[in-house]
Amino acid sequence: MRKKHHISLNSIAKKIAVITLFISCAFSYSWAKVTGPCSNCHTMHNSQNGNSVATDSNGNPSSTPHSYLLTSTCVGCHSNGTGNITIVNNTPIVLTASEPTYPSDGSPASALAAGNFYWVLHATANNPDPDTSGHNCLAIPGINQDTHLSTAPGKPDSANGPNCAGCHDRIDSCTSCHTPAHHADDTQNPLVGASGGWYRFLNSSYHGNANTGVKGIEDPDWEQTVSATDHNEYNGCNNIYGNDDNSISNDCAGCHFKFHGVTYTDTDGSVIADNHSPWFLHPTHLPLPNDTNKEYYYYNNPGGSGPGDYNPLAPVARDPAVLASMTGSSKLITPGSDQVMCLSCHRAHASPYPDMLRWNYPYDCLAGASNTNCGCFICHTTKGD
Amino acid sequence: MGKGEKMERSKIIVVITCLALAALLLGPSQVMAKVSGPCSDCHTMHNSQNGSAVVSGGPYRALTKGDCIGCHTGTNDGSNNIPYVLQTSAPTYNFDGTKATLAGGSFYWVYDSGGNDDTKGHNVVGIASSDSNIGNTPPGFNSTDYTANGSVGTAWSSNQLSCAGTYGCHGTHTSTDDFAAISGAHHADDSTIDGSTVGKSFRFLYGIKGTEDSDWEYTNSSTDHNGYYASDYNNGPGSMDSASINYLCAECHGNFHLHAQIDDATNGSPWLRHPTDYDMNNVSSKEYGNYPNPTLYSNVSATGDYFVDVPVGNTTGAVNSKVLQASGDAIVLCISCHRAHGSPYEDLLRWAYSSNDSGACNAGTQSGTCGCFACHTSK
Repeated sequence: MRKKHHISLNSIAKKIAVITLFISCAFSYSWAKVTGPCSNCHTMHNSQNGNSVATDSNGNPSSTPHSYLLTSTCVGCHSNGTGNITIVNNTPIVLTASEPTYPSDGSPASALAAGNFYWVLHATANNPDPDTSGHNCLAIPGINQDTHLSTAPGKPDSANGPNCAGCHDRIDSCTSCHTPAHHADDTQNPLVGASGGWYRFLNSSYHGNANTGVKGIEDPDWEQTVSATDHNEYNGCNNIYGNDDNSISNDCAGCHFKFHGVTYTDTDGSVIADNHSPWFLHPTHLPLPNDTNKEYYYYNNPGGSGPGDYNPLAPVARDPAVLASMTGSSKLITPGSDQVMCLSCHRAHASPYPDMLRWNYPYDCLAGASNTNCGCFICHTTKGD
Repeated sequence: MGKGEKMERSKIIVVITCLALAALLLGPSQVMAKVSGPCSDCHTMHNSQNGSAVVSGGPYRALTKGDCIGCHTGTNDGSNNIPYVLQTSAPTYNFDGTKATLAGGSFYWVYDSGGNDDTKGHNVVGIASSDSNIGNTPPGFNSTDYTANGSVGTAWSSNQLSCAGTYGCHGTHTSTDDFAAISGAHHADDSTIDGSTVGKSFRFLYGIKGTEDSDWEYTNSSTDHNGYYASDYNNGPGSMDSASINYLCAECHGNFHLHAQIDDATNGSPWLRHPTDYDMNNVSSKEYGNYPNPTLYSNVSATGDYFVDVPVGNTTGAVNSKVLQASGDAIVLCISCHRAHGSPYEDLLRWAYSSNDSGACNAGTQSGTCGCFACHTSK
């Protein structure tokens, strides 16, 4: 009797899955909507050949299954435990084992648009106090509660209820800011909104609605390569009061409410109108003035005759009406329309610098000393003179 | 808590904060008012750091770490790069001698928590309560003849003097907000003082010309001092010059400058009020030609030497070491006799004049403690 060849379906399937995965990577690089074998991300029973399939955030096998039948956690999938490459298997990496390149130079190790949680875990020459480098997301192994903060700076007074602490006093998980929607179809329109799972999945998981979700145009490689013509496009505000308006700054204001809008609540509870220059707080919701007598008109072009090109170091948000008609990123800056936003100065996850700033503010920003490393001078074009 | 009390409580923290800024701003050879140094020394974006406010009592407009008073309170020691106009203890002040005050003097002597004497300084809100002797309305206020640099407010019954703005001296008069009134001035290129903007005006006194001494006359001599721009308006009279330092004073004290108010029908002496914007070269044949009466004072040595403690102006705003050399170089100023901010003496005078101040000016007894005799050399 001829011995039957016992074909290992498992091994063949794996090879097919890998090939399929690479194929899917080649053709689906531009969108957040996942493609490829379901088994890449899911396990039905967390059991295969008697072993757990799921891994924890450190990449170790986990006998505890994950929600949504996932094989790993947010951190597990979005981290690189061995190096500093920031896009792995078409997955944006927000935590690397070694320091990424900053600012992005287009290399595979370039930090992505929101930065990298590496800097919250590691003191560096630029910042000996890692807690100030980024958001202390407690889902990330090794990150603890910020030693300086017991609550989000500028927290809204309404966020003092019994169920608020997990986002407003600390960051328990990635879902404090994101509502994952990996299967949402974000291919239908350059401007990603509700149907696409929102821009970068940004919407409150706990009390989000149609107005709190963030809209925007997602850069295909998360700004691993970035330039004046290759970048995210952020949605600006449609009101000056900080009302929910699908803007990126409004998303930040979910936790940092008192830093957004035209009123400021003083420590004694009095409400101060902050609706004109000279400002009490740095605006996060207003267009660059369309006034040739003001320095902001010459964004990224100090001493010039008009605004310069979009500078990813100090990005602007677009007027919502303008963004809705855009088909991709643009280098054009339009005073009177393009807005300053929270992300004009900060990185959403973490940066190498204190206060999650995009540049080294205490050292590179000296009044009267022009410095291209100082993003302040991109808008405040005369302050470096 | 009233505004004054709130200012008081926060003042210490603000002062400490601003003192920390002093060493980092500018450099020892700084000759312009334009600020330099880390933006973070003066500004806070959200008035929040490590879960606490950066500045108590804040936030302040223009994202600053303090208001005018908070940043400009401190001890002048020659190394500071921010001019301090208010001290929390009595600064050294000796007429014709050593001082730790700057050209404008000090608010200390009028400061509610300092000298607390309404006669010895301008009662600026946040520094001193409303003047108990004269209220808020400036003596000699003239609301119609001094509007070339913008109109000072007229509702004095409900407004106290402020550092800047509609009811202030510095900045424009178009806004009641101090910050709005001087917006942009601290960062302005003031290498040329032509009065065209607040930043390009002498000491941010909008429209006023002059030459700014690099250390605000902390160190001073006949060759090291401000250059005050003035005009010979009251000779004749001629035409008012809105760039004169005297014009600035007249924006509030106009009837002490307006020719019709200070002179009778015969132009020139006898005067009804002490003239300003009047060139002593017109009367150099008289006692005034012996200015500064050098045998009487320590810091001058010859006739014609510029005397820092009894300054005169000129028609170019130049820093002259000698005066009475040419027409227009020895113009009497309001601040020939007064300190703009405050002094140890009544009526903000530069020296002890009245009988209430020891060492007062006595006719017939020439004394080096009395600055009147620098011009009135035969009295």
